[in-house]
Amino acid sequence: MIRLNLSSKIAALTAILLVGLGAIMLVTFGILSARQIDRTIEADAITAGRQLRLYLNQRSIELKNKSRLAAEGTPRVKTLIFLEDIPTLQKEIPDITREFSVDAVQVVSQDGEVMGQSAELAGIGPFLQTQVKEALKSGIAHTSIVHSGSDIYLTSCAPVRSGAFTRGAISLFEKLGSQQAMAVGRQTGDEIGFLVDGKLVASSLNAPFSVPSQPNSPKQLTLNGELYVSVVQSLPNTEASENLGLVILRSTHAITEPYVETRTAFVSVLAFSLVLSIASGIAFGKGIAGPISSLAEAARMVQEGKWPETVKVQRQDEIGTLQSSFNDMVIASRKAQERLLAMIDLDPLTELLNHRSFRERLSQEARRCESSNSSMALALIDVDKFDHLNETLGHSKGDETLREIADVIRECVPEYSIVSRYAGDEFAILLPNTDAESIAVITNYIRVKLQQNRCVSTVSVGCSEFPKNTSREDGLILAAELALVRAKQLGRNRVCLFDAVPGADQAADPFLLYHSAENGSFATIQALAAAVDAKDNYTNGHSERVAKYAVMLSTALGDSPETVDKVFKCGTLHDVGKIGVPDAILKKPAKLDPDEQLIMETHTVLGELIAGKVPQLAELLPGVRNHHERWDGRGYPDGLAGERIPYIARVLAVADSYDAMTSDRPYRKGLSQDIAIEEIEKSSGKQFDPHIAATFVKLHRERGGILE
Amino acid sequence: MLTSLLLLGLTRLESTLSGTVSLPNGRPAYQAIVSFTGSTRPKPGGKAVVDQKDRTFLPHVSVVPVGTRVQFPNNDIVFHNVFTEFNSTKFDLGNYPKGTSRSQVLTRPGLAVILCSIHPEMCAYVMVVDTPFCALTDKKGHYQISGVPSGHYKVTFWHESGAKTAFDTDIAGNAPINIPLKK
Repeated sequence: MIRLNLSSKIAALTAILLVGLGAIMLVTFGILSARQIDRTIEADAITAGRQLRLYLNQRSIELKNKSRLAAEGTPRVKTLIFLEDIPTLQKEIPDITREFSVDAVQVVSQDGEVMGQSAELAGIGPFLQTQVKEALKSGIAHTSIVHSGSDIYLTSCAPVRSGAFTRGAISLFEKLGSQQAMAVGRQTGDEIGFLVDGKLVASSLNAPFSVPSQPNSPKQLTLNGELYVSVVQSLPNTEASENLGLVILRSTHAITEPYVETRTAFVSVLAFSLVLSIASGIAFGKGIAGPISSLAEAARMVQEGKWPETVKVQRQDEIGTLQSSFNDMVIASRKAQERLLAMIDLDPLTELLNHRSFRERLSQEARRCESSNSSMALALIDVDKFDHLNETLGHSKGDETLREIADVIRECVPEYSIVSRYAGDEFAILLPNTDAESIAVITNYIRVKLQQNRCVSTVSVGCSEFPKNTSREDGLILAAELALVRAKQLGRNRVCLFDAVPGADQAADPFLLYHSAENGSFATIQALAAAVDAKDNYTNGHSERVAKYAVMLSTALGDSPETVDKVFKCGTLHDVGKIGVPDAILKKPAKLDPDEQLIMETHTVLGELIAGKVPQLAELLPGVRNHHERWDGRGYPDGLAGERIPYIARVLAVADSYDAMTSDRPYRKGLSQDIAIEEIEKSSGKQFDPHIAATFVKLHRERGGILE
Repeated sequence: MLTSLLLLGLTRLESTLSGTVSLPNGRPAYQAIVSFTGSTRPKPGGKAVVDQKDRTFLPHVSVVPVGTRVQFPNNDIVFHNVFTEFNSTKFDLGNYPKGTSRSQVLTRPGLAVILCSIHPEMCAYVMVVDTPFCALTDKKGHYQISGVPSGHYKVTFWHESGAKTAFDTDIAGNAPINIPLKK
């Protein structure tokens, strides 16, 4: 498929229309002219036939006069007839023929008997006798056309008289051959042929041609590359039985010439108009296609995300309207996109950069710092006790506080600062080409300013510096977070540098510092758990075993390695709160009374409190607090039910119960493993998450007892 | 009177022949030539005249015995020419003006068709016979020839219309000989 541009299409369309119109006109003209030509030719041919008949009649009259002369003015012939001297007469025939410049002569007696005739007349038809008799009887010359074999003769018979008596007749014959056909044809400018029984015997043309069988019904035929119309007419003055005819061939050239000329002129005009229309079509098409293709180009630019220049509107027509509409559309889209893009990058509440765009800017700045060997400083500002503020004063007051803090930050930072709402109650300020000490001064000013503004909340700030504190951008954030945690630890409402974080001087990398801090805290708690175990002989190794079972169960449940890790840590720490339960209750060798039971139950909350002191263990707290919750909601301390119970707590509940059941207690012996499993199965859906319980039972049975 | 007596005296030896000649259509043959050719030869030196007047030969038909000199006077107001194409008596007297005359002795029997080369419509017949017994019929087709000795004769009839006949007969007495001509 050829792809045409608009102007070519318009030009082609115009051309097709014009050609089609021209073709229709040509065909119509052709049909009309052909009909007209046919009519003209037919009429002409018939007229020509009439003229030729007149001409032949004229020739007949001439021949008649000649024959009269022969009959009356030739004494020799006359004498011979009178004398009935047949032999002499026969000898005289060629002389007479010559004398009258005819083709044949026949002399008959008064009885109609042939006295002498030219040899050519041997095959003359009987019609002649009729004519001769007529002439003898009437004494008047008669003419007719007869044929002898394939020769046609114009003949005239004149009586030879002696006084009142007819003594004989002399007939002169003029052959109608090619010469005569030419002579006859010259009268009307046609080609002529003579016919005997419908067959051509002589013609003015050298070549033979086909002859229409019907008289007076014109037929067309092509001869020597020229178109003729042929009409057959009977020869005048002939006997019907003789069946002699005349065929007229009229060249259509003369008739068709005016039509051909008109057609040529028309085709020339058509061709000229075609060229003109194609040219104007192309010009018109360009006039349309030009603005449209420039609009298309502009539209492509829009698609590629660029904004094109305003299209110049020059036209008043639909295209001009299209251009101005397009311009309006581009401007509207551009504004809308800019607003949307701005919204993507901004936090709607504070109109500071949001977390995502801040991370982008941070990456940019980090790369820039690396390439230019410059530094930058980050400050994380956390609103102190924001959750408490939301709970006590309501979320709208919380939002208002956040906006107020954001305003203060905006007011206090240099222009080139990158400020964002980093988290719900956390702001981040990134200052290129700045060290941590400088940003600490700025943020401290913010903190003071907030206090001066009697803001309902104070802020804690952690500051870090790139690349001094870390070589990674996430390290920069972590360093600031560690500094922030330190600030919180130090009692909030203060600014703390990463350098102030304990151990920061030994482990320059904040990641190492973070992990060592976390692991250090965990080890401490592990020690506490061990201390609990040691406090109660009966529970000796309980935490360790629960952690082990819980890990097995978590793995069987298909949990991620991180979750399994959390389960292990949580299992280890879950009973750390028992450190706060009096020994009398903890070690009581009998069932606890309800008050003692209540005290015992506080170990969950106590555990959370203890572990909560270590920031790195924050994620473990739900498991510690809720590991005594029941699926039916009848557990403690929060009475949570179903899936509202944290997942880790649900896993720990199964592992904890199993170990508790299978362990000896001061007041009872431990249950067998199978019975314990049966108990768990029974409590599925009541005490335990059915899925977790089922998985544990299945796991236990597959292994034939977990301890093994 | 003497002559008539002589003639009467000879009647036994000589017959006067008469009769009527009719054409095939029954009408009487005018100017038909009747001749009886026997043993009697005509005497030469006879004279005859074919006049030319009003572009006509007059008489139109003549019958003359052999050896007759025929005069062709031009009594018309124009030039005339007299000629014949007949083989046996072929002559051409040339063109001559009015008031003049030319003549020709016709020495051989047969029909001479006398024509004028200037006026083709002019035509005269002069029958030359080898007998003194010849005659032209009148308007009624009647002929009469006297002084014909008895004997055997060849009878010849000719008419301009082309009708003609010939037969042999013995002549004795004056019984009329009527001849119906056939075509």
